Amino acid sequence: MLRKKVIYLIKNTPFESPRAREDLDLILMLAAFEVEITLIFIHAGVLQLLPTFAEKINARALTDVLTALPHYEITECFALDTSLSQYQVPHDKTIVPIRAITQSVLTQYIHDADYIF
Amino acid sequence: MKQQFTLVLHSGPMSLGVQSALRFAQSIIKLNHQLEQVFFYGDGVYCCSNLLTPMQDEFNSVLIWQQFSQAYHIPMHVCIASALRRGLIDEKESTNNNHDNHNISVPFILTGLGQLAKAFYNQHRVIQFGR
Repeated sequence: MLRKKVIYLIKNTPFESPRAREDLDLILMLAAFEVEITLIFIHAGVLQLLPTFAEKINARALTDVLTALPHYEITECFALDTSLSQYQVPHDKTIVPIRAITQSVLTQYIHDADYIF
Repeated sequence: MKQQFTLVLHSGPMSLGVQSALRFAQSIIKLNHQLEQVFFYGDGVYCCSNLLTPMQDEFNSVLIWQQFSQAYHIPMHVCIASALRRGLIDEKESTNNNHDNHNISVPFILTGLGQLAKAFYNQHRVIQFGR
């Protein structure tokens, strides 16, 4: 059976709600089911790529999960270039390696996916 | 061609996403497609609390989904992790965690994320609302 391609758009800030954590829970679960996942950070979601001090605000750090993604065969992450600029996230200083993509590339990824989440 | 659907609801009971999801679900039935499950995730789990008590002229999401599930025998799955961290709990988990009360009951079923992940394999469409 062909692996289904899922584009997962991460668009929430890391700590304002449980959403960021729940996104990552679902991503790991889908990866365990051998779904082919492409992660794309957009809008405020790019803030998840910055080093944080979660323990100072009594939050659970997402860093461990993000850095574990290669173990789930999620080897490449993308971020929308305009979002990186808007939130001043330098794409060479993120906690996981990412590739900046343009809006038109994002559109193409979405077009080629079986599911968009 | 008959298509199989899973609907994923991310937003709470007062959101427009709930009503959109319900209308979409009704259309699936009307057009003779197959709705395999409604999956409540994140803040969507608030739609399943049987303590919801909206005003009489307001949308009652828990009642509507209960009626819909009973009428068409559609499973209503609720992410257990999302539910427990938001204070939504069924009788079994309430006992396991030494609570006195519970606020989720039939037809809502607490389940793991695997239930949703499986949908990506064996169903044509996974549609989400309120994300």
